[in-house]
Amino acid sequence: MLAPYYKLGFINEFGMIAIALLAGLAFGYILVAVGMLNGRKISAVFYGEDWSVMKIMFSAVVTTMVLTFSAYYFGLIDINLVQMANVNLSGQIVGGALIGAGMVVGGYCPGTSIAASMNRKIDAWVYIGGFMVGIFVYGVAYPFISQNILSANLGKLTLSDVFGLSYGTMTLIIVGIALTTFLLLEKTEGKLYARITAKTKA
Amino acid sequence: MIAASIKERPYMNPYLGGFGIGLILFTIFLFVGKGLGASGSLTRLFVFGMGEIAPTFTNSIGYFQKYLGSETHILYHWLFFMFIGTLGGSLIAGLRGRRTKMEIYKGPNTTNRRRIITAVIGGALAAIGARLAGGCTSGLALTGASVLGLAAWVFFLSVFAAGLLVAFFMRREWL
Repeated sequence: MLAPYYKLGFINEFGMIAIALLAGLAFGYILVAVGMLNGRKISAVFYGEDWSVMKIMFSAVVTTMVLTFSAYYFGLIDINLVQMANVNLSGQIVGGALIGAGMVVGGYCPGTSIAASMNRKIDAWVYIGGFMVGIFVYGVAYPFISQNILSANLGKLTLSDVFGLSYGTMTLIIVGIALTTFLLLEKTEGKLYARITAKTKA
Repeated sequence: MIAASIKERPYMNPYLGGFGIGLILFTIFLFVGKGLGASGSLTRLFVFGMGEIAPTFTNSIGYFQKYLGSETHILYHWLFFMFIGTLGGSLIAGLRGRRTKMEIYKGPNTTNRRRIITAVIGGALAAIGARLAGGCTSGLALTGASVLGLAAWVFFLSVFAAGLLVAFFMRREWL
């Protein structure tokens, strides 16, 4: 049975819905358990005070990446049927910058704000309120945005395409980068804004 | 490092949590070929709500009409079902870890009022950013980076570059 099972007809709608619910359940559980409901802990990544956001994201990506590549290598999955976003350079650069700014100004990203809201964090509630306002603004301004901010749709490009390296080689390189990053993170946590944070603790 | 309050369970090790999220993501790739997401579900929820309250106006905006005009109901979507699951999972973990206290997370040198203002602004920025980029940290960065998607990696770098830069100006709010 080749994966993805749902897209190839081995799982029906009901199965898809059940999996979505279970995946969300597990995802929400881990987000809260690992502390990603704490706006202060999340924003701390941009001060080097708490690298958890980086550790979590990189660990997740490496785990999925290695497992997915392995599944591909053993012919278990049709990789072309796995979701991939289209490249829109200005969209991802400007959009990413706004999300990054939103994370350090607001203390959350959309997913973590949901997890925090369910646990009665008032700052997350108002973050979502602001989010809704942002969606409204985006929708209304969309004609202008699509003409003036978004750039060409470059399709589903991968790092392999950009660097001319195979899927496996690229995966190995990313794993190497991640492990190196983890070592650096462990060494530098708390050091970046140390002078200011020391004053707070004292 | 920011730790949980004394009254709560200690936070789970981030590498372990990340590994767990990775397992979830791989599983859904395998079973459904789709990734995680959050901004998409919030967007759908908002457009649905607005469509119920002010249908004529909402449908007059092309960007929103596209969502409402599709053949399936706007909320009958992978992302929305995942959102429901996320609500449940967040609450269960919160109850188990005693993290459900109603509070405002903020830095030690700011006020609740300033925190609320920055939270609203941050949310608005994030919404516009997520729509521009085509996802957020879960739907675009985690999901896309795992399949070596260029969009995801460009996005990821931009998020951190901007976050680090803006953080300098926000230090009074968090440190």
